[in-house]
Amino acid sequence: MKKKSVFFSGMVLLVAIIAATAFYMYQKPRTSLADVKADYSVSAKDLYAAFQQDEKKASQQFVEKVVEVTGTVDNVQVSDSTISVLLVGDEMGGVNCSVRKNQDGAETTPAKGATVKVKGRCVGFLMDVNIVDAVIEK
Amino acid sequence: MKTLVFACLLSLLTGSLQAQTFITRNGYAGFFSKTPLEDIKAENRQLYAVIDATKKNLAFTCLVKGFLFPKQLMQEHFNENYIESDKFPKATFVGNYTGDVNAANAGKYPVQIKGQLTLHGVTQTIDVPGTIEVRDNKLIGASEFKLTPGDFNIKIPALVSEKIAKQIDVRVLVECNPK
Repeated sequence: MKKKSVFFSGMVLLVAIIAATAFYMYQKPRTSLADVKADYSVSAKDLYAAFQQDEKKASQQFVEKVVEVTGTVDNVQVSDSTISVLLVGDEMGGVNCSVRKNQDGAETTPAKGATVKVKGRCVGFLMDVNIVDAVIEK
Repeated sequence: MKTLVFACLLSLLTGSLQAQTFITRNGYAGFFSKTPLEDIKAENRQLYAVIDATKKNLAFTCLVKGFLFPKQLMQEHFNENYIESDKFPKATFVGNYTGDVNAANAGKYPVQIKGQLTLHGVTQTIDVPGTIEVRDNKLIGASEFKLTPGDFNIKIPALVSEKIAKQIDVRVLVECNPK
């Protein structure tokens, strides 16, 4: 009898843990990349050239990966939640980085022509290489 | 002297006539699903858009992986199970609009936009209302409409069908600068 109740409460506990974990996993917000180590560190020109030459191959290498891109700021556009930083690739396109604004909005907006290092997740190639969830590194 | 002034004026005029193409790399596309069980929201801030105000053509494209969800797991499910973004990485729209938009006159003009939307490898014709606003030498296009996932062969498993609206609200906002 005692054995049975121990078993039963063990089961209840197990189910509760699984349910709690599932709930936690489900509610987990999209991760910030601030503390994530980059898989690749490249210049904006090289990253752009890689996609320009062979999009399929470059996609296999970079898409869904965290990349650290260094380049010259071509253009900056600020919206309510995002700072869009375009890094120079060639005259056609570049690396378009969507930088998430900080909660306190204190994210610094880089100046045009400045050299910056941006870390973010690569999502693919259109006219530019697209990077999301980006953070500007010092 | 007179001819020189005339030549300058002409070049200015043709210059402004040519500048009828407006583009952006950072347009916005978002979609929303609201049910009593779950609110779902995803936003893409890298919508590429071109509006040709002379021919009244417009084209949009974005990477499906650029749609960001507040919840990590939801984003993964969206990419892997529903939209299959590895197989169909891009969403595009090509079409035209009707309505008298005068790019030289500031104001907000109602338009009707019709064209081909390709999503999840399926192309459908959509015909939706929108507005084009002319402000500060920019064209600001906006539209809100509804899409049915089934039309694009996106299958929602019965298990989660209560959590996902039958029709998804889509919002598009593009602030295009002269090319």
